[in-house]
Amino acid sequence: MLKRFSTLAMIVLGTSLFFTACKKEDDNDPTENANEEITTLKLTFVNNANAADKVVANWRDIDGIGGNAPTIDSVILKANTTYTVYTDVYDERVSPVDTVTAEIIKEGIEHRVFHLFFATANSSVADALTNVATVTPLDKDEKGLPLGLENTIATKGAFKGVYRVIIRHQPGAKDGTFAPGSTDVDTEFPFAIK
Amino acid sequence: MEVLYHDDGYTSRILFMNMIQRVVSLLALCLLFVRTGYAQCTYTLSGKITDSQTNEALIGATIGVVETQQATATDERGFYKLNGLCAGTYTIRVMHIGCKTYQFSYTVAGDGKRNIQLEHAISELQGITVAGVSSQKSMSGPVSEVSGKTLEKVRGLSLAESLKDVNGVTMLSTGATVSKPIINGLHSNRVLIYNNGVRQEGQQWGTDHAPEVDPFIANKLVVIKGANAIRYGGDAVGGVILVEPKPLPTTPGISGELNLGAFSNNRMGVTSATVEGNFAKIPALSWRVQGTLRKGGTYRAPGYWLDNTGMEEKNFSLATGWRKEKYGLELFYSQFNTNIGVFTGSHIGNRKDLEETIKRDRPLPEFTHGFSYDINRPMQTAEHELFKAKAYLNTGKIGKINLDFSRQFNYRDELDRNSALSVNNLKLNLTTYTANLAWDHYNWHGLRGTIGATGTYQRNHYQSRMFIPNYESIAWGVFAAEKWESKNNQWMLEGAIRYDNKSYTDVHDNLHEKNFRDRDFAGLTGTLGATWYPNQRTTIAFNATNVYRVPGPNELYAYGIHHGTAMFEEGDRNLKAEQGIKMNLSGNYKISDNFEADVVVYYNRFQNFIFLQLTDSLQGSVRGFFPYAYYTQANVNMKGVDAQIRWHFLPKWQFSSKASILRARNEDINDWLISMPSDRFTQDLTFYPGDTKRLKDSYFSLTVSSVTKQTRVPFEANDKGENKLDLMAPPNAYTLVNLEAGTDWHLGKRPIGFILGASNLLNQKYREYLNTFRYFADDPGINVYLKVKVPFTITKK
Repeated sequence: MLKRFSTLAMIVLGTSLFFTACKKEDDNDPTENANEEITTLKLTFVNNANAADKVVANWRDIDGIGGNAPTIDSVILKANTTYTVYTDVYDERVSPVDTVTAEIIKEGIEHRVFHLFFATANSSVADALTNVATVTPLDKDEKGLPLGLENTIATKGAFKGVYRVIIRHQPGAKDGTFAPGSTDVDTEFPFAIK
Repeated sequence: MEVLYHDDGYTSRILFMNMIQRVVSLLALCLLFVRTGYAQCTYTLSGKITDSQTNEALIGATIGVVETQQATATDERGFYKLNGLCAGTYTIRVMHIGCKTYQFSYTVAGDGKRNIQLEHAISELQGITVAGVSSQKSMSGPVSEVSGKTLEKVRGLSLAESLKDVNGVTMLSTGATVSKPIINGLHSNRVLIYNNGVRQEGQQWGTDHAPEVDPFIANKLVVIKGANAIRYGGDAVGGVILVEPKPLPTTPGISGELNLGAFSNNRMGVTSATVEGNFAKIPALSWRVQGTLRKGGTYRAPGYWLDNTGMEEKNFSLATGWRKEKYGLELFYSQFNTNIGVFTGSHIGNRKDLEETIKRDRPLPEFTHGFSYDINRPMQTAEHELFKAKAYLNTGKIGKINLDFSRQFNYRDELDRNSALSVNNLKLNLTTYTANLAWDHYNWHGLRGTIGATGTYQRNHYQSRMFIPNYESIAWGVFAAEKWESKNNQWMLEGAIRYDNKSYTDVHDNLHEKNFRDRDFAGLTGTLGATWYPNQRTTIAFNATNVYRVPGPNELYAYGIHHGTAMFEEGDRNLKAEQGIKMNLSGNYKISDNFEADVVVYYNRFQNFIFLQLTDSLQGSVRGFFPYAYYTQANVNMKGVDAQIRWHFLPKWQFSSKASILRARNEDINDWLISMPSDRFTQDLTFYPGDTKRLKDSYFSLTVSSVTKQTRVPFEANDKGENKLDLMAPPNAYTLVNLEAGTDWHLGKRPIGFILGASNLLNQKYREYLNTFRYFADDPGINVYLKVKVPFTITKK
């Protein structure tokens, strides 16, 4: 029996190893080293009372982490005004430019975009200020939870600080709050309400 | 268990009941520690051991019974006598320095006589045979070996896990699935692994890259901690690990071994089988086929699951040899394939996420769902392929010339968590060609040793995200290692000298025209050692070496985010080679077989020791901020003690105790060196109930290992007064209890080995300082395991 069992085990083992294909070295041209990476986060604010009043701010880091510092526009909004803000994410290294926003919408049930305000840069999320402006998400994912790419933002009084956009990746755990999951994007813009 | 296959249900039930009764009664016997009277253990085996070429008596050759671990050594005239043998068939192993280990099957039916000739065959570069727990009569530096019963106990585990019981060896882990060996605080680029005589070239630079080696190909794992490791490469700063298969069979017949293992914690199953043969008609030809499958699911820490920590491994190797007296040829091919899931809770977005995780103390519920065998992103896929051709020519009195050529290919794909916004992956292809030429000489003006040359060409090619750039590297070296023994056998002196040259070229073709400068290094290393045997019981050895290590590609050229650690790492293209002096003093004292003590004291001092300097400066990215770390150099000293005793204090009881202590200082900042193992102490109590007719070599052992808290870490305060070099203080001390029982069941002609045990028996919640996942989760809890070893014979002739 022992022998039979051993033979059987051997056949199973042998067969499965036989089908273990060996990967061959991919000798692609090294210039194909490109990878999908986010280079740019763009905010477009449209004044609800006057569609011609637009504010556009870009957070852009073409060469990725390290190297040259990112170029960041300031966000300057009017006090006591309601805007609709659109969030767009791009990979500008490739041509044509890759609009990653579409993929966030596709994976809507796994992502949540937060627009937050802080007094200082690189603060703890718990210190987000709630008295600067009111943000109301306009878009929803397939399960009806807010996505946060499109929001209305109703500013209050004058303010100077940081406008921060955080995209959380929350597969299987998205519940509308910030805590679950991990961070995909975390960008800060200098921010003023005048 | 044969009965389970019977057609007649009634008979089989009866037989099955009989068998159960037999097993139960045997178990009862074991539990009651009753010694049955079957064993007739008074036979002897004696004879003389000589050198096959010179016919001289070999003094101090060890001869032992593999199954029972009884052993003795030859006297001044080359005579030996093994006492207290029981009737039965055993494997007898004979070893002597510089000689090839000789093994044969022997049936004890009465007192026997056998003269043995040993062949000078093993190249000094290929393997070193050692007996006992420590360095004995082979090299002047500390050497430990995991083989026989000790190796059976660690079957089914990874290479690093298999070695962690060797005193002074610890593990650097990245979660439960990735581990690499640390020798006296040194690892990765500083520990060379020789897989079947070939220097393993893989993506060894990453702390989260485990060596791509299947320990099942070995019947012996050797750790060379001391300075003498230098003969394997000028960069063997920490030491060398030899993964050594047993020699191909020389006796006709086809036989093999099947190893099975089951582990409860991650419900892992392991199967490994070896079949080897030799034909009576073509005695020169022998062959071996070996394969291993490992598959495990989610690990469980005390209280929760660690999602996506499954792993699978498929490995196989083929070997064939053509051996004549004058010449021989050997071909070897092996493949190692693995997929490893990385704990989902460890793939954090940025530094803020890491701070939140540390505050939480326990992973978020969405990362602790439950058990699964599925491997999802984030994950690692690695493949290692080795082809080796080796030839030797015996030139009679002059010695033996060895030539080998090998090609290795290592592929690695690291996939980040699955998100449209993830920085996708890292793909590395590393191809290495190596050629070695070595001349072993047995007696040349009283010297024994090896002189040789080695050459390597290596090419790295990456796709997707850059972390290590594309490069080409050429390395070559020449060496001589010689040994001299005094006539009265009381002194052994050895010396080795080695010249290495290594260059990195073509470090360009990288994305965004990130080009790096070429480098060229050349250095001389040497070692001197002496061993003194003042009497039969004592061995004292001293060894000193200067080391010269060329910086690894990661230390020179890394540039990018290291995801496992959520850090931005940058190499320094201008690093100098690491140089230093290593010194070991070791002593071994043995009163009979019942008491043995072994101590190694070491002091190492390195100039330009390369390490990753952590900082609290941050690199901004679209994903947020990442801590910045860079490779730098400092003068460093490391001193430590590895000590162990083994005491057979009662006929059936053995106590052993081990201690490993290390102190490492960064002299430039006059502070401790980061990421060094804390002190560890292990006590082991083993009970041998004695042999019955069917159950032999049984044991019950209880092991208690204590690891202290690492309090010796460098401190630089940030503005909040916290240690800015490490976001989390080293975890607390912990003690783990392991229980194990094993036996050899002599059912048929060859015994079936069983081992049943539990590691972390008390399901202790703990975190290890050297596990980079200590920020995210606890280490795994209790793991109950069963291992079965079934040797079998297919044909006799």
